[in-house]
Amino acid sequence: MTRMPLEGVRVLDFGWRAVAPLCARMLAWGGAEVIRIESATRHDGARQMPPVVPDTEEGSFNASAWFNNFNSNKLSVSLNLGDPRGKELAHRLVPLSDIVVENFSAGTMNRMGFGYEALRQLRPDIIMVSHSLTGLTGPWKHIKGHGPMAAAMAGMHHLSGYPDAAPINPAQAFTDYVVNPHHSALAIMAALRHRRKTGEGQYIDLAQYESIAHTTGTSILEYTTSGRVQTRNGNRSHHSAPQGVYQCESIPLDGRIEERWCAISVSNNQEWQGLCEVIDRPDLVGDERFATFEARKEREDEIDSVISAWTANRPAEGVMLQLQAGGVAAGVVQNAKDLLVSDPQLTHSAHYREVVHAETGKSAYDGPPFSMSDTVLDVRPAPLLGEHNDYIFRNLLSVEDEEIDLGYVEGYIA
Amino acid sequence: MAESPKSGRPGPLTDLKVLDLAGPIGAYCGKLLADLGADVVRIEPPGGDPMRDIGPFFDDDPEPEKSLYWWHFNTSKRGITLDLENPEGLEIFKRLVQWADIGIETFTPGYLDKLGLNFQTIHVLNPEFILTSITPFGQTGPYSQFKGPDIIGQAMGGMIQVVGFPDRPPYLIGTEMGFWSVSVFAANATMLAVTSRDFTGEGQHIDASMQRAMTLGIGNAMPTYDVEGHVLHRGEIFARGRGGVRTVFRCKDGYVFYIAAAAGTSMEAIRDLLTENGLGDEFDPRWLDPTLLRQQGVDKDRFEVLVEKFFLLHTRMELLEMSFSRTPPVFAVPTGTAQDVVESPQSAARGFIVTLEHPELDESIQYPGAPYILPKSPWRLSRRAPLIGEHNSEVFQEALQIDEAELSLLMQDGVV
Repeated sequence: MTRMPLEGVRVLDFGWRAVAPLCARMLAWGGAEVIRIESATRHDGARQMPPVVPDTEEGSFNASAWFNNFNSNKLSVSLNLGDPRGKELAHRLVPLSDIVVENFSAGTMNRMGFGYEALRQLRPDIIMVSHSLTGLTGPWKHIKGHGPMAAAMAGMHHLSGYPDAAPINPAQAFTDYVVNPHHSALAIMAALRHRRKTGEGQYIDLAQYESIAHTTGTSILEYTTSGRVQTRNGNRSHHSAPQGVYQCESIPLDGRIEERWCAISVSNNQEWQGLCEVIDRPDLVGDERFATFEARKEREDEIDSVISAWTANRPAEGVMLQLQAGGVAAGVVQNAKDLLVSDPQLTHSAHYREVVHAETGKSAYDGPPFSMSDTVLDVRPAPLLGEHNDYIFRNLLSVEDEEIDLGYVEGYIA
Repeated sequence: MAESPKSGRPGPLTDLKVLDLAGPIGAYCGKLLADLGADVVRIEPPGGDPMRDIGPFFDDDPEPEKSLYWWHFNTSKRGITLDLENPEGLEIFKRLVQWADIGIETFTPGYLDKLGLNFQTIHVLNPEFILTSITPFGQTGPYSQFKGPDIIGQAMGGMIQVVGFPDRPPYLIGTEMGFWSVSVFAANATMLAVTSRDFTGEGQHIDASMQRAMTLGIGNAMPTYDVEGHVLHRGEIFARGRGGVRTVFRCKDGYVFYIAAAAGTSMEAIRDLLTENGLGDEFDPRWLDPTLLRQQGVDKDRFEVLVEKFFLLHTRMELLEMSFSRTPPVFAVPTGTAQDVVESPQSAARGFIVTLEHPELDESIQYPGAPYILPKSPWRLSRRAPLIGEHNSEVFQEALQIDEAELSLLMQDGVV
């Protein structure tokens, strides 16, 4: 077994819901020891977020499949930080730790007694990262709420949706799940490297607003250079035509009829020729009306109807396989069942991991979206609330048994 | 620690040299490392990289040196030209591998093999070298040879299926979010490998997949099928999950995004705000129980009609001010555009918009700034994207001690 990249790094995860917990999950996947600082009195709402695993105890803190998937490989300590004695125990973990992650609204950690200055007194080279909505400074620092609000402000919603309709919140809080937490995980690994070289810790300020705005493609550059404001384009692209999702043959699923769609994208003349041949329309290959990208872009609606006529009565998988064999980019609009059960590529890469959890039994968890030739990236079950109290109080903090008992009785370990 | 020769400031990655061969799917990975201080050398085929053909263009002039797409993804990088398909070019590339620490590539799996250059041969040349491969589906497996522009990754990764109105086709999100996502993960993987190498001295091969990257963005859709056997539909996500109102509403000058009846929100706050604005009579006191608004139905519809009536009386910025100048706040924010981000008081106060000089155009251009603020090891844009072959002399001299005479021979032969 090779050395894990972040072996020996300890992370205190004060995160709620998605952003900070997912940042910490990446570090945990990389071998860091991540300890969730939690309490039963004021628990992370995600611990009861649907979907809840059926046939588990009503109201359990350990049965949310959403939470468990997002908190693999971590430990959990349960402390009531509202009690000075609970707070003191958490403070005693800081000198033993390297990184603190949190995603409360700006200023909350200060009020709780866990602001960067307070932590630095306890551990001068601590690395802390905050994931506030709009940043720790500036006239908007008081704006708080949920991640999709930052996506709205940063221009992501404006760029998502149907061109003839209002912008849409894409429903899944995608920026909470992918861009923001993994920007910050990257920043932490950079800061750790800086610390190894200089001995200096630092306080990383990730504003979700900025992190998302940074990933809106060329929209900012186009505005600053031409004054033009990019807008949503549905499934179309400025450099591919035709491009879209095309309805295929519906299938029965769960006693209902499930729509099936296949995405197709043509980016050059060779692919256009391939498309025409696969869909039995060789007559269109030499047709001047579609001969160039610009011409196809002009007549994209017309081409869409031709493609849709061909896909309508075909199974989506067949459409994809035939087009890919003909050199055309195509992919089924897969649902979760496709991903978990039938996708041969995800099976090949062992992407989802079957994990056995003490309370919920066997579940599928996300694996890291990459493989490394020399590092084994294990996925282990999420912790039960307070599952590692004993390890943390006895082994890390050497707390006397009587004090631990008192903590449970008086509720500051809770 | 080494000072960056370019900025004069320390950066966490200033000692790392990166060979960047990435196409659009992986271009952001190199930018992330470059903006954190790594010396990223962008390798283009002689004549320029195909990415330079992607618009929009500065002055709407479709010149390879004016692609905003190229500009955006190649900040802080140096640029050289090299023909890898020319045997002499390949030999030079092998020497660069011995000079550098990291390579980023996005070729169809098997392409480097055909050139006689795979991770095994690279590992022999330089055992510390980290090779980061970024592809739509991964290096091996039944779909590894499939074509995969952004929309295909979003489709196959399960993202498109969960997004959109039930009565319209599903749609993809953002602008090339599949490319961005896999690049961010690939940069994470690269940093894990760098950290590992700092201790062991061993490089390794990273295999990042856009499809896999997108699967991490589908939230409750995966566990809902796993534990309930139910395939979530677009439009059904909030009805089953967190409920409440999460809707884009019209307002006087555009749109606002408003969340109600969800964690952290207050029905009293919106009631009071409506009352202060003369609409209190229309607020049904039953709505103080937020569970009524967490399901589709008449109450949610009536509530949404009422709040939009209020929003239409005010501009986005007025609504932001009204919503967050009260305690508890109302969770209503402007639906912004690139213009709003560039001109926002928050961006101004935090210096989010950064200016870079383009001396060849005699222009100063404003770029989006840091995705994170690291006060001790700053993110920075050290230079605009390289012109074609801009750093040939500099890099070939510095890395391989190839002098001007030798370089001009290589140029004559079309190697560079």
